[in-house]
Amino acid sequence: MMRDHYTLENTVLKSDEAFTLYRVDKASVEVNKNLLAVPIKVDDKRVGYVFLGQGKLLVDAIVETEEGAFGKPIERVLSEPFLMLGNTEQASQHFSPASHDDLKRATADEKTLLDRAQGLLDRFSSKSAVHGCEDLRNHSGCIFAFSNGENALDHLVSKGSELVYNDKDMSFVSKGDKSILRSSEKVVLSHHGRSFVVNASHLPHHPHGCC
Amino acid sequence: MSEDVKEELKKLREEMAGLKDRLKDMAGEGRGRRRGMYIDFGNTQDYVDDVMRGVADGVHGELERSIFIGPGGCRMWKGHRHEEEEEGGIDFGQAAKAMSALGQEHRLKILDALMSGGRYINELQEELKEITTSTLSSHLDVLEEVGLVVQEKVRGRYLITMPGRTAYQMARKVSRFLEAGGGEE
Repeated sequence: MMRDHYTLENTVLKSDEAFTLYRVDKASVEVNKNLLAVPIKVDDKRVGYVFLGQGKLLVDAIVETEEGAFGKPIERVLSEPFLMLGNTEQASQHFSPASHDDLKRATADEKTLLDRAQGLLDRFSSKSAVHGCEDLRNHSGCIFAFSNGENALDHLVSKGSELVYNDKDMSFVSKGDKSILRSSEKVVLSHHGRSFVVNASHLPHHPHGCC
Repeated sequence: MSEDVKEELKKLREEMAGLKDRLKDMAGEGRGRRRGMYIDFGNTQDYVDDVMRGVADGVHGELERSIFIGPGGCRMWKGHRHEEEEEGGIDFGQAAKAMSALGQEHRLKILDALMSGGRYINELQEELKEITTSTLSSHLDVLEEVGLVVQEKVRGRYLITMPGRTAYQMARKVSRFLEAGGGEE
């Protein structure tokens, strides 16, 4: 499989206002004003950003079945660096070049910020850190990768009505009226309201999460 | 014998003859039954239904021990549900909170509305006009806090959870039992 070679631009941008970076029916990523962003490029084409600052991730990891809803919404404050690959046009309208004062506010100089951004990009590109998720990088939809503080990355992948989210505790896949939720307790599969629930403790453990 | 008495005896004989004919007809109907011309299907059908229901309950009970078949799918445990139930017992505090949340007519009506699918708050407001907006929000908070209802964070719809559905069905069973005079001596 051919892999894209991601590199960072030597530019730091900042958000001029709080805005919704990404939104679909079951997930959204909101970012605060003064969020810093380092563009990611492939062959001089801007394909994403590494973000440093505050944001919020919402994922409705809920499976609707005829026996009732299972799962819960995830609301996560994003304070660690995270990256996005996908359509950058809409996001680019909300960013302007960061000044020295903006960098000072983030208590870092430009080199430190770029190093942190590069660190995240390296982890994302590294096969060991995102083991089993190689296909995501060639996905034509939108890909987010979030640091979870445990030398691993959580992912949100979305394309049309398809959505995949995984973190260290759970995995959630949704495609139209089909959903799968795997938590530490149960695995719930639902298709058009019809459901299948399996006690997760009886399933073989997958060492690499959902991917 | 006077003419009046003779006339009276004649009428009585005619009446007796009529009664004898009637008895013959009835005897004929009786023979017809004995020959299998008449079967009381009502009673037989009830009996067969009872037997079939008993067999079905027995089979379902056996399946329930390992596989739970819900209205739209199935839930499977490798172990027996009996073991799980025996080990688990009741979390009295949690159960009391859920029962407390159920103990309000408007909240039961909210669960009833959510049984047919997720609703935005304005849709619930439209369906439950007798509840004011602020009271509705407050009730939803209570139901959500005990896990009977969950709200999507992105779209904002309210959904009834698996425990919520079970709680609603329990309330409905209690209601029907009481309506039918259950428990009265």
